[in-house]
Amino acid sequence: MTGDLLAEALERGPEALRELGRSLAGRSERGSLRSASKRLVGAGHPSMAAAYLAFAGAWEEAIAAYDRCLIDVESPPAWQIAQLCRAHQRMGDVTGVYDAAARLHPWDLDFEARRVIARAMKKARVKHGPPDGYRPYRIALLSTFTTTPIEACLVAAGASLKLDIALYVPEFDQLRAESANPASDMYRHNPDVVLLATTWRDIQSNAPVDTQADEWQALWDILASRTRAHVLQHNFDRPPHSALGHLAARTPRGIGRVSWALNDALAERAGPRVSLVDYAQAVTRYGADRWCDARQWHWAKEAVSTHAAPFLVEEYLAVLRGLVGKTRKVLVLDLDNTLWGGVVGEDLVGGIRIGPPSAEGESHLALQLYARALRERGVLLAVCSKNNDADAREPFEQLSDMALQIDDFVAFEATWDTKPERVRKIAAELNLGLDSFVFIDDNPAERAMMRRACPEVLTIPVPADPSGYVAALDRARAFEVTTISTEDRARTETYRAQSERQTLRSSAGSLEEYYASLQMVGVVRPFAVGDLTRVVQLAARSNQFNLTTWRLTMGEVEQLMVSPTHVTRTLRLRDRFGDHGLVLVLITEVREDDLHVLAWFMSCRVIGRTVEQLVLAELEAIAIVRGCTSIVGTRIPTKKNVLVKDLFANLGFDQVSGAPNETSVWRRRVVPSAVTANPYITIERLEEPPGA
Amino acid sequence: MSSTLIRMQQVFREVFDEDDLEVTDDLTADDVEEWDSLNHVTLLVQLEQEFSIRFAASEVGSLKNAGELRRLIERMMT
Repeated sequence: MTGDLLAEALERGPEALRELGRSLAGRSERGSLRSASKRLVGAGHPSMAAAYLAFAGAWEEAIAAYDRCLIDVESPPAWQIAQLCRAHQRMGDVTGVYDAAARLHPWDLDFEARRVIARAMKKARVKHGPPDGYRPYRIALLSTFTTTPIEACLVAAGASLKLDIALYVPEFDQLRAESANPASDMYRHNPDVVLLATTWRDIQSNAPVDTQADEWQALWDILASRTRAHVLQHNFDRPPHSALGHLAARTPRGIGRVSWALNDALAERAGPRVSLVDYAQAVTRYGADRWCDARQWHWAKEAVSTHAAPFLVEEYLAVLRGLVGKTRKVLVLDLDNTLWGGVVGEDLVGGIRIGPPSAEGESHLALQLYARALRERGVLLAVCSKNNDADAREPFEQLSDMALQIDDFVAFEATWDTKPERVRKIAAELNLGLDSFVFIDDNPAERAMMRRACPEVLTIPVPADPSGYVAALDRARAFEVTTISTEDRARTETYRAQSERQTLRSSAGSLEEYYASLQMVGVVRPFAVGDLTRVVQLAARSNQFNLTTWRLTMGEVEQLMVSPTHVTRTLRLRDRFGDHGLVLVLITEVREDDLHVLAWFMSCRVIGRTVEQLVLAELEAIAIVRGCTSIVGTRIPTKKNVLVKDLFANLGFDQVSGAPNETSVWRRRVVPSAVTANPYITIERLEEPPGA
Repeated sequence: MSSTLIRMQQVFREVFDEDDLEVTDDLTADDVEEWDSLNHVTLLVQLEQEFSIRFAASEVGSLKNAGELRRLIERMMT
């Protein structure tokens, strides 16, 4: 009987198969589902076969089936991921649930899948405790509308940033009440982030814009004074309907003009502890007509429809990515049919298409312009192409339509080795992890190889048509940062100088001669107001040379600056090739006779430059001034910081406690008559910040 | 059991995450732990998808049980 139904559904296609599966599940016919699943595999419907196993409650087999389906899939369907999460939850594997959820990408914005994923995560966590390898992250979501759909999406999507999000959401429309009351549950939640979710409905079109902006700023200040949290604030969209019609955009008190003016005023007022979520842009990109479902608003005061919620949450995630230090740093680009149309080795430099008049050439130029804009704000560009090096360089040297020049790249790999091999090589040269890389290539086979060999690299699923390249890359939101510093803008120059330094290193005879030839100067000073943005940014980004991986917030930095028992230092390093900028942060605390090193993190650019000895000398100096007789250091191991495993041992510390792979504590006596010296770096001291 | 009710049953099971939930005409929100006003919206959206229908804002406020929901769906499908 079921066999006939299945044969008929196979004739009619996937929709009929799905309907049959659901109807068998509705009747709880588990035996039929399992036998149907076997026939579906044979008939070439593996994901449907997996779904039937899940319908039948055969969780372990469903997991294996879904895992097989998801290998080598360019953009994994959210629904399959949801079923995988559900199956892991039924098997009682909380980390399995989170690991499956982490495979969610913005390519598929299915809401229902996210709801199922979030529920599986919650149920698994309640029953089996927190997952391994996910950072607990506390978010307070304060809004003036019902956020249920957003909550589910946020928890689900957090896994892709390796976050275990604990969400606090007060009763409906309690944004102001919860912030005003110092004893509210929101403050008790001790949030890492307070998300202020507002809409055009919160604009008062009769109050002056400055007054309204001041009110929001006052709210941020209250949150800053009472929490260590970073604030995410929506800017304002416009209502999709207006009785004024087009005049809403030109009438002085028209909602359009008020909304724009208010957004300007908020941008002016937002300090380093506030990130503005460009909500207005999100609504526009998604489509204002579809953003809010009027029925959902009247039923439940949901201002963001269930279908738009995943899209909005991807925007939150982009901002959070910057905050938690998961921002990617390098864009690796293929050349032929990616940066230009055609194959330079075959079509020759005169035959490839770049720029006008062809639409194909313009599409490739659009990608070059986008990449150049990324470079200008601090993203590193690299080339990885299967080509002869000379051929690959010709278009850059000979064609005037190219927006990118050879100098824009920190690495130019045009050889015949495999691309994963070469991305690993670039990563090693730049001293960056593979999870800092984004890869864009028109060839699906190259992308598949990269996904398989280097799953840490984000491989962009670009469409076959080059006019879609920029949108596909932009949608990944991989390079989002909370601020852009001068160090960012100069980064390409810094990394290029680094490769020149490496050339020098191979030409200078001994290592000592090399260090001396660099003519390094280190500027050491306590935290200064102008450096705080960079300090927080470095805290968020440093993974490898980071002893305690303390992701400092601006609030914590401000507290440290006024603390009488804490001593802080930053180091700027320059040499004869250029200025590295602020590359190191040190935070210590005086506890009676001991000077504790609470944080020491450093940009990877200056590893192997004897900075470690300089820091030891500085620690000794602080200890002597503060009357301490020992320095106590801690290393908390993470997946990333193997680099500093032996740091304290190498600097002459004795281990006090801690087994391998556990937090270790180290101690070193301070002997004022025998302090450390670094002969290679000249120290300049700035005790007071300028203008203090 | 009507075919509408069988399809509704599968939607209910997925929305409320209860693999063994039995949907009958008498089922009310009080019988299902997760059936609150917020999940109700999700339920409606999922039913709209399953049956390719669209509820009007006013239609769903006064439904007392699954039977009334079933009759509403069947009316919209004909």
